[in-house]
Amino acid sequence: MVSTSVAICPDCAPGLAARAAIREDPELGQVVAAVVLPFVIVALVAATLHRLGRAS
Amino acid sequence: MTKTSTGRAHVGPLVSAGTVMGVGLGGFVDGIVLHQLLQWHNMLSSKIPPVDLVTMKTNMVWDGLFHCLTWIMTVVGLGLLWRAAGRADVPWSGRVFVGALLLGWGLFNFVEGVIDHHILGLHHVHPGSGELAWDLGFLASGVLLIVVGGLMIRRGGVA
Repeated sequence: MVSTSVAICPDCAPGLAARAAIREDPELGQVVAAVVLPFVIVALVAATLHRLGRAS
Repeated sequence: MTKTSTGRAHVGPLVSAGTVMGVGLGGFVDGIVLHQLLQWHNMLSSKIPPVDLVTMKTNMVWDGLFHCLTWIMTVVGLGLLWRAAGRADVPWSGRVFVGALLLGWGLFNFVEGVIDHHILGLHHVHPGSGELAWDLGFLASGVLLIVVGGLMIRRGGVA
């Protein structure tokens, strides 16, 4: 059993610390862009395939 | 095999639907197998090594964003497939569709591998000794899936 005197997640100390670390990351925007970038590129490739397959 | 109204087949919608779904499903394979089941890496494990609960939870947030994106790609692919199914000029070929799924999975592995593993270094497939070999193997799996998918599309098309 978890002691009720200890805050449980999502409001436990590690949870709060993790969210604070993300908020305060000076490279937050760059990290988001880095995670999103591969999906943008493959979406562009799929759009190109769509156009190339217009009249097979 | 073709269902055309104008005499011209249009495989593009089926290929793009399968490719986008393949990107999403391939991303889920990566996230579920490598991030969660095997726990070889997490999204930012080279930048923030998950060595305690705080850094693990931080990585879990970024894994969550990654899974959001794979979910969106899968849903968009499903929508594209639904639209393609309603068109008379789109040949309904299982081989083309499966080929496109493999093509999308391979594209995901290759593009994600080049950007995240090699250019940005956000994480590696299997960090530690031999990580370059694992990363190159991941790229090779992408190329293999692209080639197999491309061949299936070509053979299943309306040529």
